[in-house]
Formats: sequence, structure tokens, C-alpha cells
Amino acid sequence: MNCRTIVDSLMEYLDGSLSADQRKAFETHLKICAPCLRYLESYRRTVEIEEALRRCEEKEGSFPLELFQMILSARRSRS
Amino acid sequence: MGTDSQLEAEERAFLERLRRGDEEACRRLVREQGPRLYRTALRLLADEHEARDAVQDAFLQAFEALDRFEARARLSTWLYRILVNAALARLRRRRHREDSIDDLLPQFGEDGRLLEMPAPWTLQPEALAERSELRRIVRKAIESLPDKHREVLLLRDIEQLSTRETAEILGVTENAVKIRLHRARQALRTLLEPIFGEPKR
Repeated sequence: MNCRTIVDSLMEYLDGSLSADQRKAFETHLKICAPCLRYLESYRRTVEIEEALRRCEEKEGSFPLELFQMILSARRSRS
Repeated sequence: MGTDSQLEAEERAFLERLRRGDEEACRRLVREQGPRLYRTALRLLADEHEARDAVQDAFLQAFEALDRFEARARLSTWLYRILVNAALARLRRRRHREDSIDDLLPQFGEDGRLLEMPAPWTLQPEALAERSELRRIVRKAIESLPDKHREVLLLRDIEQLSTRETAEILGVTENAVKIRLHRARQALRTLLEPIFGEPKR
């Protein structure tokens, strides 16, 4: 495996869908390749940042009462 | 009668009332499904006004299409799909991007080696909770991705749909979803590196 194949199979490595042999080859490369290790860490961090964004925004929105009323009155005026 | 078929019978009766335009049934539908749809719209659009408009569009579209709804799917799933499509249409209108993602992907030498050493990322994801400007930066980075990559990233990572559900909504293969998600994450990584990585010396 070289850096290109490592980077291409990163997502499968992280979600656990590589075969045992592929996984072993992947981890062997990581032990000797600092750029790939850094790349893996920052890729994983990117996904964690997305999760953090999702969690923060989840707290921000509750269903507005006026939206409820707007939808129902728009429906009545259309029918 | 088993519980499942009882539920089905209840849903069919409810659907009939909706089709007749029964006001109380319509209220119940908006009350029960509205909050979930609104949260989804907020996650996809990250804008309160647009999220409200998308939810309203989705409900009105659904009320008009009730006759065409086939009871094979659950009503909630059907509504969810309508909302996601309404939100995606808004996203495309807001910022239509077809540019190539290649410039944001890592570069390799002829021997397949990574050409650049990535910076170590020192800023923690937890910082997003305290700093709203970081959330804006991440949102802006997601928004700047080409349409087909942004949509997959939003549905898979932000909305947390499965590969299969994402493929069905977008009308592409599961393999295309996997490839696009991986590229979208790589591109986002590149865009976030100057913020979350240590400055290069």
C-alpha cells in the first residue's frame, strides 16, 4: 500500500469495512508514514467537527408556533 | 388483529381523513410531524427563515399530493422525503456550484506518496460549542462544496441517513454516495485545516 491507496481507503478503514488483511497492511503503512498518520487524524477530526456542529445546532431549534399556524392557514386558503 | 395491522388500519383511517381535508387531521399531522421536519430543515439549511419556508412548502406540497400517496411507505417517511427534497432544492438555488472538487483533494507524487505533510490539528471540536464564529466557519466551508458533494455530506454526516437512504433520495448508486462522501470529507478537511490545524512555519 502507498499513500494514495491509504488515503483512498481511509473511510472504509474508519468505518471498519476493510478486510483483516487490508487492515493490517493499512496499519503497517501508518506506522512508517507520518504524513498519512496526520492525514488520518485530521480526516477523523473533520468528521468529529461535523458531529459537534450537529450537536450544537440541535439545541437551537424548536418548532415555532407561528409556523404551525401559517401552514394551516395557507392550506385552508388553497383548498 | 396484530399490533402492526392495527397501526396500519389506524394510519389508513387517518390518511382518509387527511384526504377529505379534515381540519383536525391536518392539525394533527402538522403537530406530530412539524417539529421533526423543522429540525431536519434547520440541519440542512442552517437558516431559520429558509427552514420555515421549506417546512411550509413541504406540508403544502404534501397536502396537495395526498391523493397520489401510496400507502406502501409510512406517511412520516413520505413527508420526510418531501421536506428533504424541498430543502435540497433551496440549497441549490441559494448557491449553485458545479466546480470541480479536485483542487481540494490531496496531491500525490508519481510514486503515490503524499506530497504535503498535513498540519497537526490542535483546536478541539468541543470549541464549536463555545464559539459561534467557528460554527459559522464550518457551515460556510460545507456550503462552498460543489452541490453533489455537499448534498451527500449533509445527508450522511449531518442528517445521519444511511448510505442506502441517501442513494434513494438523490437517485444515485450507493457506490456513488460512498465516493462522494469520502471526497466531500477530504475537501472539508482541506478547507478547515487553516482553522483547526497548527499554523505552518
